[in-house]
Amino acid sequence: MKKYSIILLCFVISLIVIGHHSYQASGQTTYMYPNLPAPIGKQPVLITSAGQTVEGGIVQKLAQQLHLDAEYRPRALATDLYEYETLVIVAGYSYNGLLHKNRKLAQEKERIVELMKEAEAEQVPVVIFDLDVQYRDYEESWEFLAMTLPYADYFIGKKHEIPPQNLMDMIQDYKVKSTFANEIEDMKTPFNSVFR
Amino acid sequence: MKQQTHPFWGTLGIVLVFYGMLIPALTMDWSMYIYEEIDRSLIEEDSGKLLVTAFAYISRNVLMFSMIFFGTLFLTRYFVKNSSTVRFQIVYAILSLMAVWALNFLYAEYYAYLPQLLTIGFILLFSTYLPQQRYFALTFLVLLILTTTSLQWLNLIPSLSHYGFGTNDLAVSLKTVDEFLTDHNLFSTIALVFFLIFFIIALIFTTLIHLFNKQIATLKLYQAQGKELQRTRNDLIESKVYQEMHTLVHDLKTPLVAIEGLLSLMEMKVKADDHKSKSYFSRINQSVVKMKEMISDILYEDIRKEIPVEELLDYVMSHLNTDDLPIDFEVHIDEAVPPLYVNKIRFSRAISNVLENSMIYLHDRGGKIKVDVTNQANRTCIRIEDNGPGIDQANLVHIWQEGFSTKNSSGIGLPFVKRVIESHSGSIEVSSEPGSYTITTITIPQHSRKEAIG
Repeated sequence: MKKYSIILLCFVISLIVIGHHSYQASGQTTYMYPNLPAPIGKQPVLITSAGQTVEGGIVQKLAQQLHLDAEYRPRALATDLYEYETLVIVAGYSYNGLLHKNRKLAQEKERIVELMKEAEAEQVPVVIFDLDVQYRDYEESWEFLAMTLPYADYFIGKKHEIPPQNLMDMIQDYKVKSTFANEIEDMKTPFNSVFR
Repeated sequence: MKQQTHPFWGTLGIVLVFYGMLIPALTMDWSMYIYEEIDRSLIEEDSGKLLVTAFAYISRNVLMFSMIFFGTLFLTRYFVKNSSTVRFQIVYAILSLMAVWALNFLYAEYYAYLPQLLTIGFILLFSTYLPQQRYFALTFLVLLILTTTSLQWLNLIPSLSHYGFGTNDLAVSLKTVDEFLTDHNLFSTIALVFFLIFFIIALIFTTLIHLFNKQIATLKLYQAQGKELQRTRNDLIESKVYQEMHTLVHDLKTPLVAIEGLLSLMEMKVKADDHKSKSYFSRINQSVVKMKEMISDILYEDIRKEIPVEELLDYVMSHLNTDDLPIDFEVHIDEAVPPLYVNKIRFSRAISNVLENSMIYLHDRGGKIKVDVTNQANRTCIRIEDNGPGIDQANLVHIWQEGFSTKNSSGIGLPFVKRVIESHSGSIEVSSEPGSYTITTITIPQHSRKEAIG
């Protein structure tokens, strides 16, 4: 029996971790508005990524399905904003995404800060997308959310069984209108409500 | 099982862990290919391409974690001698988790600890059933690859994401795109199927290796039992032969007595001046007396009598077939050596056995056998040296065991020699240098006739 003690310990710790996650997942339900009551943005739309995840491409696909006049430019700069009426930011950190775009984290942060400042100066409405922050629960992902949410007019995210407290605090502090959808497909409705 | 803690194992472990850690940096093109293919499958809305990308992702992770966990095995072997102890498992688990932590520290890919912890748990569980033998590292590697492959697929099962599986960048990207393209249907089934397939293969592999090892162990046991049975049978046969020989020798006494009596009658009838016939009768009588003595020596082991060393050695040499052998015999006897007080027949057989052992190995290649008899502080020392192939140190400790032989003989020669020498209150030692010489030294105490009678 003694020779199995460490093996059992490994399995028990694994079960504790799984149990901890499932306990977290069985919390209260938060009710949100299904979409905006009136449009806040106009077309053309600039879609860009804050953190270079592949999810930027998914939001572009959603925009295509909604027949929006949108362009996906993952490395868009503040100077590019002049030709767009709405800014959509897809937040989330990707280590490989930054490597692929040959960018450093500091450069990416600087780009987002400049873009946010320009959006505020030009009074361009900002929509933040979060497709999987519950799985990309990285320090860098939260940094990007913290950098973009103060300038956001609308937040569309994936529904959490129990929403992350810091996300809810930021949404409340910056008085950002928000909608949480069960699935990516369901995000089309609130996204459409931004423009129509 | 005790392992050697040679620095080679430690070095190999460090090299493997080091290169395992470098995999994300060394295979950056591979990571970029995975990232691009995820992006492309999204643009083309091609779930087949996404599945192929998932295989590339799993292969990269298996290569990386197998190298790290295999490296930590060697590192643990360097630190802990006995691989079947709990201490070994603790050190292995700690080193492996430390390596995963270092990986997350070096690269911000955020690999989940849960699948790695389960991999460590299962690999330790499976390895307890692996034989701790020559090919342990190889079987461990195969099992490690199977287990890692199986558990890496858990990272792509979307429903397990809530429980801490698949938190790293590429796994999340794959699962998010899968949700958009197939509503999680692709990875929910495929990843589960591949997890089960590889896990069952790992289970079957462990069971087969375990059963094979058990079969080998049983076979070895049967072989040992067979050998023991054969030895007992030989002992029994030997004992029966000895008993029959004893009876036969005993029965020889009756015709000898008849011969002796009839000879004395016939001698009485010989004319007083027939000196030639009288001389013949005298010689026949002497032979009969000698034969009676020999019979007594065989029948009664305790019988001792004084015999000069030269006479004993002549008697031994006359019974050895040394004709036409390319062996030089050199005999040297100190003048001061008193007569030996021994059982002539048994002691001669003992000396013959030692000489025959030397002769067997010199039979073909030729050589020299030197017999030195010296006087050493009231003890007589008989030193027999040959320049034959010698005896390995590993075999030297077993030569006194009955049944032990390196030349397919009965293996009872040297134990008999030892028994005879010890029954004469003497001692025997064998020293040897493989490829050079073998020296057998027999020492027996010298008895005065008075002591012997006493």
